[in-house]
Amino acid sequence: MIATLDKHTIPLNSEKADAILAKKKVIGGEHIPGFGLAPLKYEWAYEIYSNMRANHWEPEDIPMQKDVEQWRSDEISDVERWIIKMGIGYFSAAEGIVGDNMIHVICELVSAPELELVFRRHAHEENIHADSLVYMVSSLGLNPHECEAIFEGVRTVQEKTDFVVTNSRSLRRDMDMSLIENKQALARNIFIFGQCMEGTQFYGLFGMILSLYRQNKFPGIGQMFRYTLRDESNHIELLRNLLNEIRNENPEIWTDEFKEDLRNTMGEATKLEKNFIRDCLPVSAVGLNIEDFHQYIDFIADRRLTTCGLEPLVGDVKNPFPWLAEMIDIKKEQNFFEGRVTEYQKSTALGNIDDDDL
Amino acid sequence: MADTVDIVLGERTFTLDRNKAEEAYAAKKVINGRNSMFFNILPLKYNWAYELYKEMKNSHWEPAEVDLKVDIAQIGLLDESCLKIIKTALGAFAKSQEMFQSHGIYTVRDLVTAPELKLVFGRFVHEENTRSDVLVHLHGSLTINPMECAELAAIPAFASKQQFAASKLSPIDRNTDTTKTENKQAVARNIFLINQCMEGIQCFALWASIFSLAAQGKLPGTGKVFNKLIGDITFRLSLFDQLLQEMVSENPDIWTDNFKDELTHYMVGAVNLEKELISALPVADAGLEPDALETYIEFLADERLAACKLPRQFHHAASPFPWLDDQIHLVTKQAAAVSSSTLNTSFDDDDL
Repeated sequence: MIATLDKHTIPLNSEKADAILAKKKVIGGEHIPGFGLAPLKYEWAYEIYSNMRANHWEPEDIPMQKDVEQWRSDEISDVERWIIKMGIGYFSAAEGIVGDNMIHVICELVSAPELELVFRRHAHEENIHADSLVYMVSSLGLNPHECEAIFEGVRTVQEKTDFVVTNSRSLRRDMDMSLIENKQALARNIFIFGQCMEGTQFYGLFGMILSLYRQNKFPGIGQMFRYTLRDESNHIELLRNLLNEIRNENPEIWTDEFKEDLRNTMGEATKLEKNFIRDCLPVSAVGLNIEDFHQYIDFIADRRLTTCGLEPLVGDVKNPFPWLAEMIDIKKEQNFFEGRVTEYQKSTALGNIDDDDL
Repeated sequence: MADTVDIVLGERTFTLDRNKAEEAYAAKKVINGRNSMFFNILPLKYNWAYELYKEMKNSHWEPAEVDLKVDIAQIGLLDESCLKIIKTALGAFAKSQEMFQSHGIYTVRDLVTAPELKLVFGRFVHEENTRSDVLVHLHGSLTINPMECAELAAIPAFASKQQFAASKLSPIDRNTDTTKTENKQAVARNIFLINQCMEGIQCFALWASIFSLAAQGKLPGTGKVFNKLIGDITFRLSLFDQLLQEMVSENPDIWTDNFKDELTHYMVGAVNLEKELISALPVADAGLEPDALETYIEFLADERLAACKLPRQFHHAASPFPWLDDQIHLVTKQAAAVSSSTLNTSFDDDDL
């Protein structure tokens, strides 16, 4: 028997390969000693991993000279500077929360090597994103206290944080994963982090920063956020697949009540995001209006729900910001990383990923 | 007292409290600091951690980029004994994370509180993936069955390594109360065991054999892959050396004479485990004299001890295999004193 990975064929013993496959489950899988990646059970996981690896980027690859010039010049308003500081402050916290959840919740519960692999990559990308924020702060010469302190005591930010942190902390205990409520708790965590947080609540500030980028303001920062956004679209897809797999392997969790619970969770996430946009984001400064922004949040939330097989919350919402979808369509000519493939590699196995992104 | 600044933006007012932010900086500690999942890395307190992170990412490598054409042509022509060494090495490498009980590093990450330390720990998840990519690249390119390698690595010399680690590690978890001295020592003990005694010493007889074969022109690509892997290990050794020292300086109650003796004793045990492996492998067929290799392991153990400010135990005057020092990125304390200023740049081009 042979296994195919990265265009390689690896010889295997059939009987032992079957034993490895039998151990692979999302919940209740067994640890496989040694090299247990082949044969793959979750091909989507390895495929997404290969995409993520091919999209590797490092912040210093992106020039910041223009951003520094603009930052110091009169062509930029204080409100625009403030938006950048907010973006840095918010994502410094948020990327940490996501990475921490990946390492200490998801990676601890999954055991199939291809799942460990792709979620470790996920955590690694949060590191890269956090590092990109460090690079922005140091390039612009910002006071990091200020970026952090912007959100101290802002209630709507605290509520957004509590929404995810409380959930993540509640899963950090020994859980009997044969119990349906614990399986559902894990599924909810996966839904919250993938669809609600990375998939919806990141988009308020993404939208602000990318609308500056669209006006040729802060091209380096905008570019880094585009790369971040491309990574996020992989994370959303990855966590969607994981949720799907848990549902297939444990159909008993997918009750009408649980589906409604997930929809309500998304409802809560969109409410928090809209409050945050209303209280914190000076949307008119970038030429947008709050109604469109709220509609955009409804639009993406509905997309997240329907791709997970759940009913939309609003239904029939038009995308008010089609330009934002183009922002993550990073063209090959923008490849400034020598020898690396940065073009987003569409794959037939992930047929709807481009569709689902925004 | 509080130095607050009100920033008004349109109809909104934001209050910045500088003292609060500065308190957050002061609360950065290796353990028992401000516990947060936030990634507020700046302002840096542990500059060395971010510098190390930068060195690590500047050394980013992809296993698939290492050319194995020569190895593919040679693999069928290797003599039985050398082939056995390579397959045993792959089998041992595939299970080294279990053997070394490396998952304990995640518990340490959970207990460590400063964000820049969490960042540099985050490289570990990436390096675990690199290991997986290495196995795909080597097994796939050389068409070697991983299950056959696993059987070759199912020998007592490897089992006793895993048993050693498992029996000595302290049972800590995310709920461990790290304000108690014995628990702080438990964290330090696990760091030292996993990193210095296991990853820093074990299986080096195998890695040395691979480098010795590569020096003879046999499987040079495989040699290059392991050279890069040991480069990653070297960064981790450096991370944990410095982390241990930082912990000790913030918590001097850890570093008692008894505790130092205990750690030193583990290292002596670790050397014995590796000697057991040397006698189980045909290292002479790879061109390594077994006695000299044993001496090399002792020499290496002394370097690991010295890096952690623990007393040397074997006192060899010089490395028996200076060529091997280069392959395993061993910068001895004497050499480091001379060339520390060039260490940063040395990773730029020759290693990538």
